[in-house]
Amino acid sequence: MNLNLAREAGRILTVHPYAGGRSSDLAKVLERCEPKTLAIDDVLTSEGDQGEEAYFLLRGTVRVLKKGPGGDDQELAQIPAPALLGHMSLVDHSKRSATCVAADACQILVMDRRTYGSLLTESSSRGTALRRLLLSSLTRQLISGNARLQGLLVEPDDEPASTASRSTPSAATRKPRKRRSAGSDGDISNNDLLRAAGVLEGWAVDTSGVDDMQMVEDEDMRRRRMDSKQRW
Amino acid sequence: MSEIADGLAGLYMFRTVQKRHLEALVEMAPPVTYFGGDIVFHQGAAADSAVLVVTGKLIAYVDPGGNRRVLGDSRPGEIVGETALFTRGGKRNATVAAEGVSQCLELSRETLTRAGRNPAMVALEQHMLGTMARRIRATNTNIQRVWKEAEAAKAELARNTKAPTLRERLAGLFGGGK
Repeated sequence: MNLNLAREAGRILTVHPYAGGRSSDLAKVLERCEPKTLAIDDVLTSEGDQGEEAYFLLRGTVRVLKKGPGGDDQELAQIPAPALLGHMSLVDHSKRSATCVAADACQILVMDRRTYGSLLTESSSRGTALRRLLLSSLTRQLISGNARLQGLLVEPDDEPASTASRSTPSAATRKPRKRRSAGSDGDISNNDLLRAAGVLEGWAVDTSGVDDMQMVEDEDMRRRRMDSKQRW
Repeated sequence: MSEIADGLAGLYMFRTVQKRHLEALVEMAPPVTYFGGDIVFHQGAAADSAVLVVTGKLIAYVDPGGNRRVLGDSRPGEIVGETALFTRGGKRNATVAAEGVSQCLELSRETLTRAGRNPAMVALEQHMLGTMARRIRATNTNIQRVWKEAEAAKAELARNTKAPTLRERLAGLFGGGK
């Protein structure tokens, strides 16, 4: 695999920005990773397995599947490159929360636990780059997940029409809810819960609830983002 | 060594950090002392900093319709409001107040930039990663619990229209609704 790591790092920073993030620092993190290719339908992670690696998806798209209460696989999201995948398991030693399957040919850089552990404690610029990248990604997961949860707790007709798509009211401003009858469309569906869980896990991070918020980025990052948009 | 740096040295996350690095962190992150009842953050206020609890205890609460509901507390070694360090334009989700005399370090985005390679900041960032991952997992576990109950809840609702809806079950876990 012939890769320009600085360029790949720049692309990753466009989707996972953090303050002071420089592609040259993140490229030094990528140097420590092993390249891997996947063919269509190859399995990258299996739900329930112990996670010992994180993945930088450089090319291609990955399907994310999660088992429902009945044990059947449901597609939670399709994640296109560039993306960071599977890092939660490295951070907290948890099992894989979903199965990831290649939707087409994929190019990946694999970071194993040993490399992660060594970089995480470094005070070097590459150590800082990895920590800030992960913190930025987890922050986005938390904010999006909480916003989606708050959205679920408010019935659609409780929201003022003008703000319904942009924000969710705080508990203090929320109107009392009406009781629904069985089978009412107003209650939460399994799919709603699946999506909320997916957002929290970082599998389907969207921007609902963070419309008025922006991840911290500096002038260099703004320029790089604009640059990247023009190139891709 | 300053009193606050002494307090930091006693925190588990800083167990391997030399005291001079803790002193340097204190210079970049101003220590603040709160007294019982002092408000650290107001719900709805702009979020632009976080605090690390060094001594004492902070409590977080929401106050819907005058009914205070305590969401949790933060003790020495815990960070409150850390998402503000990585986002702009966010607002505080809850009010945070001191429950007694509490010493904290105020962390800003500027602190992160200035203290980037200080080993105390390295330790703090590692700690924040663990904290965020735990919060995500805890919330997700609760969602999964409700998800698994979903079918039973629907059957129960079919028999008894006064049974809690899924939304109400979720609100019970996360504090929304009533």
